[in-house]
Amino acid sequence: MSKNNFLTLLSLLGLAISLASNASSVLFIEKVFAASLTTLSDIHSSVKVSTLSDHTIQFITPTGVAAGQNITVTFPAGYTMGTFSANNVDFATSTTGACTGLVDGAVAGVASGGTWGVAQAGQVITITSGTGVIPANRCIQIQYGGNATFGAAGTTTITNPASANTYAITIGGTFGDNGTITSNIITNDTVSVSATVQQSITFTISTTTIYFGNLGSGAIKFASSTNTSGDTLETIAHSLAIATNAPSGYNVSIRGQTLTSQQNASNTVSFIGGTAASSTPGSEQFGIRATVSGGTGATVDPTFGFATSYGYDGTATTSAAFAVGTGATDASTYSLRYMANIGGTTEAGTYVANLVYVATANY
Amino acid sequence: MLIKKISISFLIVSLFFSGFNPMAFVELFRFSSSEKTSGVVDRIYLAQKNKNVVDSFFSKRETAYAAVNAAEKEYTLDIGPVNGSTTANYVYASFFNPSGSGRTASIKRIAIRSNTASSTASNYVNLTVRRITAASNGTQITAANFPKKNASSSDSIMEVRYGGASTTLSGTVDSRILGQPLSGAVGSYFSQRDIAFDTGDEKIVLQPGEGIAVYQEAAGSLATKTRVLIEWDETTNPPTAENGFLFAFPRVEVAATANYVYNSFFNPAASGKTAVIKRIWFGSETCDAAAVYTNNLVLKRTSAASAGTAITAANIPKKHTGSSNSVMDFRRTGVTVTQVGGTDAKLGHVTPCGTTNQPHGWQQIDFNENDEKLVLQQGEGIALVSEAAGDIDQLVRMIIEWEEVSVASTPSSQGEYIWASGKVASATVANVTQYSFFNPVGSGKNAVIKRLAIRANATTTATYASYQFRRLSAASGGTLITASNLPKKHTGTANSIMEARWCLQACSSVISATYVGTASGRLMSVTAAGAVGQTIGQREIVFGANEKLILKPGEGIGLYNDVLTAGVAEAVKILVEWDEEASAPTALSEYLIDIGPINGSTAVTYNYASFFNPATSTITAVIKRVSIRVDTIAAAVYVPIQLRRITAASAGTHIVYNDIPKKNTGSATSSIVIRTTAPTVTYAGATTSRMLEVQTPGAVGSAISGNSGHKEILFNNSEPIVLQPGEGVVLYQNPTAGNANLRVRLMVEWGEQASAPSSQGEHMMTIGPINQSLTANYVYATLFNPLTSARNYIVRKIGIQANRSAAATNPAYTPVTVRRITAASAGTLVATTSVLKHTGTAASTAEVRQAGVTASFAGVTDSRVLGATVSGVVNQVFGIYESTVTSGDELILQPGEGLALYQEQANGDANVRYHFAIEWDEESTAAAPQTITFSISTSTVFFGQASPVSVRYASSTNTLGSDTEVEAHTLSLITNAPNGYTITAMGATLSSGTTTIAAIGGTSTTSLVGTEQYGIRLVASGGSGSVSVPYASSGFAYDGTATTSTQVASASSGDNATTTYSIRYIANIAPTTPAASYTANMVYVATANF
Repeated sequence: MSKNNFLTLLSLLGLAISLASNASSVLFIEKVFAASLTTLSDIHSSVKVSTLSDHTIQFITPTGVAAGQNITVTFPAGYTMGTFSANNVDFATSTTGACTGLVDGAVAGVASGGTWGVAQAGQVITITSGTGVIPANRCIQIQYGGNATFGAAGTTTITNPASANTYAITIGGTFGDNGTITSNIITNDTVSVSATVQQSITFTISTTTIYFGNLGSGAIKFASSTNTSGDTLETIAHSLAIATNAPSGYNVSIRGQTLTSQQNASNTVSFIGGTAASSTPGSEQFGIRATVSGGTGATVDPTFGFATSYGYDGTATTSAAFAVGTGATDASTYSLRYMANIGGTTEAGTYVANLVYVATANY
Repeated sequence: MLIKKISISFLIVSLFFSGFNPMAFVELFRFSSSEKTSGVVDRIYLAQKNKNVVDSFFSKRETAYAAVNAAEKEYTLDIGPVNGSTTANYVYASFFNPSGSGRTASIKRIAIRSNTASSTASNYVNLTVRRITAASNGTQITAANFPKKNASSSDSIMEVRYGGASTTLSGTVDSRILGQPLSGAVGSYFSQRDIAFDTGDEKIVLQPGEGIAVYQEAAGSLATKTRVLIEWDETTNPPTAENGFLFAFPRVEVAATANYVYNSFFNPAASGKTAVIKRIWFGSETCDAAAVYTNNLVLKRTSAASAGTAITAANIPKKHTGSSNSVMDFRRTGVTVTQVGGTDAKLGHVTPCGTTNQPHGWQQIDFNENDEKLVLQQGEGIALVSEAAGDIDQLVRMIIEWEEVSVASTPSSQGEYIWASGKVASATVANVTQYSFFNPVGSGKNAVIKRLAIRANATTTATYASYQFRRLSAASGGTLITASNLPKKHTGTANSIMEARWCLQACSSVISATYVGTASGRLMSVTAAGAVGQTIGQREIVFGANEKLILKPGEGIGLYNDVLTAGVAEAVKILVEWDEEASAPTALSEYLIDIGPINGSTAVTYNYASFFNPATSTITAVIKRVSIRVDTIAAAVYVPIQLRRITAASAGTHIVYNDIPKKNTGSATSSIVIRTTAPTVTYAGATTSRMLEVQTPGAVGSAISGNSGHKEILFNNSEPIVLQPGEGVVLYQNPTAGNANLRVRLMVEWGEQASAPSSQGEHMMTIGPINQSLTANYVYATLFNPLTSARNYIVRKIGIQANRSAAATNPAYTPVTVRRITAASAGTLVATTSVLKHTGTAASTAEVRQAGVTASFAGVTDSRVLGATVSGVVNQVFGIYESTVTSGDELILQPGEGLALYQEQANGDANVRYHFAIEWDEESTAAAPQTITFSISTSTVFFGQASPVSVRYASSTNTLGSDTEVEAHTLSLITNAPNGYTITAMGATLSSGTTTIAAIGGTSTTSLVGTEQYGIRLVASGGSGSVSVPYASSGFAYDGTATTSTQVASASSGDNATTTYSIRYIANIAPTTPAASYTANMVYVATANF
């Protein structure tokens, strides 16, 4: 660059600075920055025709909003606006050029100071600044409907158009920027998913045959499913398992007459009865005790529920309550111990008892 | 220095008027750059894509301008010329999507051309396109140098190599996607394949790790120059596989016996599939030595195929590797087939080449997108058959594009037929009807002709007789083709009611025909080949989206010769494709006339034919097709003949209105005034206002001298030429005297409507002729969009025409190229007046320059949009190459961008005439209309009965649900929103009153049988949308509630391509899950982010 050229540049620059520093003394032309909004969106809560929908409208204003200016949101024909309330509008702005960290501002029916005025006329919602200013390149969010929860809760009032189509919401106002947001309203935005769950109860008895073997008046005998001679020590003869999705759980009952001679039906081994009792060798006793694991609210009836005592009060024709579950259960397991004692006068014979367990779900 | 001062002063003034806001500088630059980023999308296009939408716009133009959206990632690249090689398996070009690219490329068009550029070569080895799985070496064109259709798009991820790339070929040598012989002798023009997939057809999809290569299967010749043009787009998601295939059978070179079967395509009896054939190319590609013309090559339906050499189905190339293997049966070389019907039952028929380099034995049948395809159900096939003894030097093959659908999805019959005739080779006097196609009175049907073709070849020196189709009102005699021998496209169709007659090969069976009107009423006309190897006698019209030719009962068409006697040296054949409908289609006021042949004139300026809509008419003519044909029957001259707008026409010979053929006789008589033989006209615009121009052939054609005088424009996907009252066009020669040996024709297809359609802003112009320069990098012509235009140019057609008019001086056979430019100056500015398709269109803002333009090119030499090799001998036609850019994905010229036609090397003479043909429209750079279309495929899905012991998936079609994962429904979204979109789901989990099945939550989880789970997962295909976390994994998730939504998918930019999301639903329950009927209402909301 030659010296002359450099001087020319310098003088021009000086002129520019001079003009800038004395702007008030020369012709001043206000530049109006009107621009297209960017990053526009309108999140509907529903895009189904003729359906109430909340709206979350966001956009970035390249120009910003000056005090006293307004922003208008115009819904196209087809949207039914409903009854307006200032409570239905939330108005928030960002502190950066992104639509994050949005901070709600106060709104009311009329703008005043820092409170933004919100109003609706026909299809147009207008948000007016009192003294509020939004700098350029800030994100503005307008929530309209039940999603307007800042301050007072709003109500969803805008109904989507009745015809499936695209609809453009227009943003404008005296703040100068403008833009449109196109949404696609469709016939049905909802997918209905159906499933059925059937009532279920599963009840299993681990075995159908257990054995006391030979009974004697001198010592207690316990039934076994694996040892046909029975057992002299208490053992689990079998188990009951129950699972159900019945919300009120289940009941298990037991019936059947006590050990009865197959040679003479009038000869029986007396059962303990409804009050649990401990073992008394030399006295006729037939009883059961059970423990339970798993399940919801599963309990054994007191007749059968003591740790060292046994009971049985069923007959051939009457059932005794055995256990209950109070809710749906995926697996309750009852472990049953059978005991028998005989007296010295107990008649010889082969004694059998057929015990019927019934589980009932309570839906 | 002055510029600096002005700039600084400008900045100061800007600052002043900005109120001394420093941001003014920023604003200045921001505004200047933002003008480049806007786009145009036309909803008409989207509507037209929906077949349920009636096109009331009449033009059928597809105006998506999709490529305006930079997010679309559309590219076009003409690779080459790549010099030949004597190395076997030499790879001319590879196009490869590298692993990990993150994008899928979809090839929309691929064109391969081979030219021989010296007299020393004569090599015909296979030039083949195959899939590859790796590529390296060769010369790589960096992606930044690929021409983008929209310069604002991001760079491609493809790897393009040429000149000896190393590739790993997929499949076997049989796995050809396309095939053709190398170009043989200098001047030949048979070696080209150009396939553009229809909008609705599957593209060639290249996922990461996949590519294609163009290579020669044996040693080639140094003298060949190969070019590969590819148009493609790139998307984040691979499109869904559609079971489409494109397969080039191995070419067969045998001395065929009568009924020898070269290639067979057969759908086996138990395949479970139906083949829907969309394209069949077949015949002799050329001959590599002297052969015979006598073995008619015909395409026949078959009902069985065996023997020959089977080609393994696994080696058949798929368009998308995600498709299943084909289930068809492919055989070659002496296949045993059972032909359906008699000898007359031909689907296609060509007269093969009889000596080297002849191109005429090849035919391409592309079924129009809206027409019925050839449907091959189980037990049906087609075969390429030699009707008589052939020759080992004929290179014969078939190329087929098809889709396979399940038998249950077999398309229903649409009542369409396609029939190719036998050949007539007879010395008959003029005006002898050789074929008639007549709808008999009382048939109860209306024939709707969709395709009409003439193939009048010569087997030795012939007379250059003229053949034409005309309407007739009666036909009898001749030899009637049995109805059952008129092939159906779908065997579910009833036999045709049409009466097809011919006069037999020797024309001994006389047809009596009553023609409508006078000889001027030609529907389509050709000058038959007068010497072997000429293709001037071949012509076809496919009506496509335009009104079809309707033949009601008592109406027909006939083909007869006039002007000259026919000869035994001719082989005249016709092909008709039609359907038959019970009700006559509504007349749409369309017309078709082929004016001529008109003998050439020796005048300097001569008007051959004018087509004028008189000022007093009450209609607007909408020209949908214009076709110029200038042939010569003896030595002639090389002069330009052009189509120009006119504003008045008189004198000459007026073709009476009643002679103008209506497509449907229910239409009113045309109002157009058509004049021939030197009408007086008033030209519109300047002498440079050429809409179309051809150079006449200066000598008769041959296998190495093509048809430089032919040019046809079908305005199917672009604005038609609209002629309002007082407007017309003329075909005329200027400024050089013609020759009496020329035979000139002008075919026009048009509609007449009461009101003018609205202007669509299009222009068509042929720049030139410009004499060849001897200087390297000389720029012949440019089309430039000035920075201040405020318009985007949507370029639909680009054409290079380089015609030699006298002998060459070396260097010759040089490349002429179209490339993008960023500036143009100097040269001669050419007026763009009166090149409007519609006079309601605003004047073009384009700067068109010619002859020595100074242009700034974008990219490098390899950044070719289009290229051709300039002919080294007169009448060679490979210097003529025109590209219709994929409709909807046009090339965009933003302000400050342009195209230039230039030569890459110095030349040895000035004897070539260059034309640059461009068709474009100009659209405001104002923001595009916003679009978003969201759809949900169904509103109800079912799990059926959930179980604690097995998983359940929802189905929309099975109310019992499914025990295997299935797609329950889809969401589809397309938008042009610059910032993309989001899709959310909201809704409570499966509930029954207050009882619920627990949703999985926000972490993708595999199925846990016995544990309550409700969740979804999505799979995206097409477009660039993607599934959001956690729904993109193989597990399931759901964390939406009745009041809070969860994002399931999004895209960062709207690419105007549909992304389809396949949604799968899972349910598991616990044993304790209460019995009940559960429902969940999932609300899907799509939000575009503009």
